Amino acid sequence: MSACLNAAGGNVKACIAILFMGALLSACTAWPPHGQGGLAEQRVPANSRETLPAELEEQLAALKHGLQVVQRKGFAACQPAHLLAFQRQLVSGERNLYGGMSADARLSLANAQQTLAELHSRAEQQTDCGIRHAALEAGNSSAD
Amino acid sequence: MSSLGSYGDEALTLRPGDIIQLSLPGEPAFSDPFTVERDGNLLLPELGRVPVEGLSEAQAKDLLLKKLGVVYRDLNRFDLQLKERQLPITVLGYVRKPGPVTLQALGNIQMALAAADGLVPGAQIDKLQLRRGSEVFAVDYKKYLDSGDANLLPALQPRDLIFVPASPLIGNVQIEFDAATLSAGGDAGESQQAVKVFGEVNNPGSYSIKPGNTVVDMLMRAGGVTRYAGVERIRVITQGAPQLFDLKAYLDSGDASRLADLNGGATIFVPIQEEAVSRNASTVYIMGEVFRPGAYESQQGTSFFDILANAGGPTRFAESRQIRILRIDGQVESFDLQAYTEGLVKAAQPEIRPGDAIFVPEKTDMNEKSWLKVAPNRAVMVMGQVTQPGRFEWSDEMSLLDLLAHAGGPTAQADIANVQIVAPGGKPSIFDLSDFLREGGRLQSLPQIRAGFTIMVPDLPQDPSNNKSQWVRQASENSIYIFGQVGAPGRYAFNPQLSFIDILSAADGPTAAADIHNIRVTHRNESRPRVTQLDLADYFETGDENLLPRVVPGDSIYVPEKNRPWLDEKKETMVRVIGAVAKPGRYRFNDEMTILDLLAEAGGPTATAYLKNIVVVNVAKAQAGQDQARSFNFATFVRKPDFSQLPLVRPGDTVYVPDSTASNWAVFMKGVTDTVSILSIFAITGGL
Repeated sequence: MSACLNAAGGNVKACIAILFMGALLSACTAWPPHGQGGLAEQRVPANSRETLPAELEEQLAALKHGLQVVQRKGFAACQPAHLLAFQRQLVSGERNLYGGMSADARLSLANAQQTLAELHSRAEQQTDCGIRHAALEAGNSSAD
Repeated sequence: MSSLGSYGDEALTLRPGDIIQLSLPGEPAFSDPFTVERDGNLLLPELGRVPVEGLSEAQAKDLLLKKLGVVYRDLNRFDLQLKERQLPITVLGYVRKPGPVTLQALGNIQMALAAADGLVPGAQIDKLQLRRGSEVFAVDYKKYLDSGDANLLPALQPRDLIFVPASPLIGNVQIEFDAATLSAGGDAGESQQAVKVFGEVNNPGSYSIKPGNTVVDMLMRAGGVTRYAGVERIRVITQGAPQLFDLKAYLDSGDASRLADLNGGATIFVPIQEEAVSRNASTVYIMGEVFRPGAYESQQGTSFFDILANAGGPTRFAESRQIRILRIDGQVESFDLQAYTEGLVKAAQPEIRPGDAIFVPEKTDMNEKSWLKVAPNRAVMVMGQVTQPGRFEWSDEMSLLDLLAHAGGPTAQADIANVQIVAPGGKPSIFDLSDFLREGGRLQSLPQIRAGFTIMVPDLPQDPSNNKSQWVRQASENSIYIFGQVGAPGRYAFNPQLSFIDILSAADGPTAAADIHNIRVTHRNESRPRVTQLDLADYFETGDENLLPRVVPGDSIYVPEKNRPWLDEKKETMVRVIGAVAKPGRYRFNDEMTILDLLAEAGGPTATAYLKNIVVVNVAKAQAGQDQARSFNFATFVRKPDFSQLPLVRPGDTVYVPDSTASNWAVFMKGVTDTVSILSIFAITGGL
């Protein structure tokens, strides 16, 4: 109390005002910042509060493209489980990225990259994995 | 005496029966002839009885003239003539019409009997009597009938009496006499002259003997021997001396010296055939299951089949595979008749010598068989998982498949890949029957079975959940282990051809409490331990067989439960929900969920929850990462939802829902209240 009086120059009203402000401020500075990215795979935050590492963004975009490629190639028919794992890893990476956990995002995207490579290599070993769908595609396009 | 005589003979004298013609013209009473009565008198009218017997015709004429002259005057033309002679006799005894008969002058006894209407059955015709006055002559009428010699019959005279006696065989009581029976039973009325034939003859009785009759004749008289007669032992007693007559030997040899002597009064007895033990130098015996066992005579060259056929052959109970020939020197040979008739063996039929015995045993597989009947050197033993294990007879032309089929075949529990064959004194061997049945093969590739072998068909391991005591019989290298939340955890038989799904199904699949996202498979057959995690739900979602781990015998599978003790749930997999929610605690989380799902799972915020600042603490997984905390304004979200503003939540993070006492206003008000309180105190104490 005496400190408050000293700070206020002996003015009691000023001291009370300082105390009120202190109380107000202590109430206002308690909470962490707002979060985002909890459903980033479906709702990308428009104005990202986080600074996103550019290389991770590019990697994410490339992996998403890769997902589309393998889906078109019909990998769902011959490697459904691995495709599902890839999709999950992508989701994890995206959420981490937009949620501000860049290091974890890097980890997840690296795993997804590995899984994509494994998808392709396994498809080469299986006889008709990825080919059938392409043939169907070719057939559809020729029928058009 | 002769019955022949001639009329006109001057020496003839009148006798009873003579017919006299008296001629006296003019007297009709004398027109008919007169017969000399039996008393020798003529019965004349006016004169009465005039005895004329013994007189000649002339004398009789003179006598009548004298007597008639008294009555009649003109007798110059009176004449007397013997017109005809007759024989008045009497026949008595066993004749049909006994009484006086009148025969012709030349009549004889036969005619007399005919005139008496013949003999009555039972007449003793060889002892007829001719009575003449006080004399009695015996007449053998039978002899006359046999020979036809009329001189055998005496000449008859008037007033003779022929008496026919009855046979002593008649008896004292007059009955209906059956001559046929009598003749069949022997006709000898005199026992001293009869031959008595009895025993096994068709018509035993007393028969009269004729000179020259032999024993054979007497047997024929008695109707011959019956089929039960023991013709080798006919007993003949002649004049008190017994003899044994072998009729068969006599008939075989024809030697008349073998015939027994026979006289009247003899006795012939034919005994019944006795079951004498036939034993001579040429006997062969056949016993057992043939139609007519017994002793048979064999000659040189009699074969085994001759004897068997003579004995009627084997019955249907005969074990014709095991015929034994017992030699006279004590040796025993066996003969397989069935194989011989099937042409399976090339052996000749056994030679049979006199004194040998053939034994045909009975089959061992009839109703009340004893297992001891199959000798150990003919039996094989089949044990284990066959329908009818037991001891069976063996023959070398059968195979293992025949034997197993006879034992009813393997049961459903049989492990036919491991059939054990144990030879006595040899090493046991294992035969893979299922492989043989699958791949086929020649019968020669089957293992050789001989009598004395044991075949054991083991059983497959049973369901361990049903029979715990069987588990030790399943080797570890054939087992797989499955624990945890499955229907029937335990040890299962497994082989490399089976898959993960097979074993899971065999264990009745995961239960409702199973956490199929976290199945663990321990691969124990590798150089280093390796544990595979399997999310079975993903498998069922995608159908990707590559998800399923390859399991081999020896591996173990663990299916955890959903509600594990909290220490078993790793913190990296859970999210902590703390604060003003209905059910604070740890919850599983994955990247398919959001904070909203988490809050709902935790029962939602309580009534006093401060929804403007739900705090999420993100823990960095990467080494280089930084942990952070973010807040979420749920109150604003529900008014103006923006899903892009949902905070990041990952497994391992923490979600804190503050109470309303933590709100800004509450904190501010608390600060204000505290300040006012202190100021008040200060003012009060300062004012004092």
